[in-house]
Amino acid sequence: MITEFGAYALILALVLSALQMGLSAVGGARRMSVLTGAGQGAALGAFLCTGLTFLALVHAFVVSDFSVANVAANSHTAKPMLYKVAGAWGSHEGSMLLWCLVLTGFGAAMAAFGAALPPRLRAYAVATQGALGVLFLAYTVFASNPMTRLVNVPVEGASLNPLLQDPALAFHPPFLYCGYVGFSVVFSFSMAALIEGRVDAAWARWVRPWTLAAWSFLTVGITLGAFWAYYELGWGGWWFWDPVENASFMPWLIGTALLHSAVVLEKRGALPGWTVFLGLAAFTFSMLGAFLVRSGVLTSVHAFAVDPARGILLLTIMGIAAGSGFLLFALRAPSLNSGGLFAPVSRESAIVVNNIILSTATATVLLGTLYPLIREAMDGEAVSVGPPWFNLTFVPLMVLAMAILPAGPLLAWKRGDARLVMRRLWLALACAAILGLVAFAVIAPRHALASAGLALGVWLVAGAVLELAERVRAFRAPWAEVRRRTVGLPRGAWGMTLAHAGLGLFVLGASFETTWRVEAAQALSVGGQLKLGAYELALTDVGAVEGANYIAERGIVKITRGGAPICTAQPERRFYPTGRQTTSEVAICPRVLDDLYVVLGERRAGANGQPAWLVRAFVNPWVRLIFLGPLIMALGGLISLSDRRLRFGVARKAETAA
Amino acid sequence: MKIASSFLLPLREKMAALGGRMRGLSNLSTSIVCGVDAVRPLIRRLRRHLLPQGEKGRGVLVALMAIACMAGAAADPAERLPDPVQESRARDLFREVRCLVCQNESIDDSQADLAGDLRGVIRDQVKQGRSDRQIRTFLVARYGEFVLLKPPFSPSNAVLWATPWVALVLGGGLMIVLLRRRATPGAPGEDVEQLSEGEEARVQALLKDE
Repeated sequence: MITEFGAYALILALVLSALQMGLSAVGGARRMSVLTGAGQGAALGAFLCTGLTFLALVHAFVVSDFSVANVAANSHTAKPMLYKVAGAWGSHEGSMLLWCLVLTGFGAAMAAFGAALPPRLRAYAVATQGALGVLFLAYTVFASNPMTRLVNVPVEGASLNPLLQDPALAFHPPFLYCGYVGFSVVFSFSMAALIEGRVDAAWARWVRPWTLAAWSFLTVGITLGAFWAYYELGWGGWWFWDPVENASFMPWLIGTALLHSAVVLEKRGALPGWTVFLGLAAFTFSMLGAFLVRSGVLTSVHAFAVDPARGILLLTIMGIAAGSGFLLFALRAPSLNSGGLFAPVSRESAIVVNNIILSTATATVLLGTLYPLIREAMDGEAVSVGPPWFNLTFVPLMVLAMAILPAGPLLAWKRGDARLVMRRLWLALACAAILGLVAFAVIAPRHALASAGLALGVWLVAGAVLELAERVRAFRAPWAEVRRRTVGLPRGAWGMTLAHAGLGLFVLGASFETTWRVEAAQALSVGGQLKLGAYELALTDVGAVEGANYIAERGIVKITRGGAPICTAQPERRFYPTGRQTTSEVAICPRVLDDLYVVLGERRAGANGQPAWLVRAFVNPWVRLIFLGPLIMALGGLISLSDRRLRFGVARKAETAA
Repeated sequence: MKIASSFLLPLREKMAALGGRMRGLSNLSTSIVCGVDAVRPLIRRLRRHLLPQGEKGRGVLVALMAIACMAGAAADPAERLPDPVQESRARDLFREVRCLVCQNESIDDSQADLAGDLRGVIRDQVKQGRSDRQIRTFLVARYGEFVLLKPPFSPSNAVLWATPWVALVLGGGLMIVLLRRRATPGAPGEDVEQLSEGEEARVQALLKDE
């Protein structure tokens, strides 16, 4: 009953989205506030209905209603409750529903909190959001309905893949989708601005908070995914340049470029066309990601429900949405004001360079992801583009961007003084150079590139700190003055400093971890020992454990360093009878920044007939920074978001003043 | 119209093929292990396989099985070469070689049987003192370029290797051109006017007087 109700609500949501689109568009064009108001009401209604459907699906998962096809395919009675709930968005159908929920949710937020926006802009934006809602809800209702019932009801469900039964992964999709789909708001605003033919500083002020929110969510989502890969897949890798990862990374890169160019547009009125272009591109890449992940055109470790027919549908949706967006852009862009002027050395220029590099990097990731398809279409040759290629193309581009990054915020708008900036940054440069050289000299094995990576990380962190110090006149002005300035510093400035420093921390962690990780592996019987760098590992026991929906072998590995106990790792090798799958549950002993990472392998015959287990262990130095850095970046985004200058009312004042 | 269909055709084929390839995965591994040269035609044949209607969940299952086989296998002491220099060379090569039966991983990471065999082959060749280049050539001759995660620098891959840098140079060039054009005196709304040397000197003189 609840399921039917949910299915009905989903269709209602589709109808309401269509109304939202039609009413808002007509109301906007004819300046009829009754119609635009009704359109906003429809937007709220569409969100409410999609929410009800979503709750109905969660309910079906919670009570394990296997008459619902999606529940039968993805759930199991023995699954812990968290994963039953998370199962609701663990499948293709469920995740598309989540996508629609977020999409209509943002539409409703535009309708509810947009009172300060100019009425026509708001009407067109709500209408565009409604159009996107129609496309994706229609897809969900007709091609991937999660509420479909089964005629022959199974007694037990097929369960969710055990690798996905993990807290990080339970929360990974909601964050990711808030990010992906958050860019739909920017898309809608861009369309509205193009329809109106006006892109100005006020527009940038409305768009920036949405971009910041979407970007922060996406950052957290990607980090959770990387973290999951790190501790769940069992060999400590966290990024594989896999098509599915790239699919989430491309909107992030474009979103990052957009964040920066929107600042230029807001502060200086420059780059309006380019900013709108990025606004359209960000959500286009989100849709491209949805298509790549779900259609199976590319081989991926994380392949989703692969279904070619649905892939074509998603490609069509993307074609319609992005096609109309860019067509409108092509028609309107020439008439857009080119905005304020700036000198070659200025903060605007620095941000333009940032945008050029980030766009090139996005194009690079796109090319690397699609190249196997292109090559196959051209001459039928199957090729692979893997991590080594990305390391040789994407990484240098990013290094270039990061090399100039600390200078950007110190340059003045309009016309900057490069020498002045270097005078302010010499300390950061000196720190970076010295620490890089020390790392090169001290850390064995010697590695020039990784030492340079460390120097780059230090450069970023020190640059961010110096920029902040410069703003508050630390060590120059009297203490009271510094304190007053620190307190009065806008949150946006704190946000930027945190985000840039977070990037630096990530670079430090990534350089260190990928180069100086220590690895050891040995088949150990109970009582056996293994040396891992400065640590000694001893397998003291292996016992059987029974979990909620699995049975496991659990090894007890005592880790010592020079005889002093460090910790006891308990890696497991789990067997899930439902799916007949074996997974290894890694044990991680966190040190301050490092991880001791222990994996229990399969049982094999050891010496003198005793059973032995292949124990693999890693010291992952500074790995904490790899995940901490991006989280700090996201935190920076959220702090910026709370800046009172970014609230809606302020934007209106800016517009009336302009 | 013709362009569109010729683009979509391989796409559609590929989409369909992947379903087939995944379905065949379990029976694939055995045949591959006995005759490695058979891989490419096999994969091609499987690509032609279409995913029958109504088997929607199947793809997920197999894809996930493929994840389960990932577990950093190359460090297994039973496989290692005695010479640490040779071993580390072999490991570096492993990271550039794709596990052919897996979804998207290097043979350094994969636990699949075929990956193990391939590691054995490469370690043997390293032991025989063959160069990295020779080993790569050998692998490509056997399995095609598909086996290399780092596509070789070759004319047919020129687009792949050159595009990022060309794009960067074009983007930078465009920026310089636009900035120059907008900085030309007399442009409407000009407010970042470059002072000529004489003007600059006069400004400095005036400032000094104050």
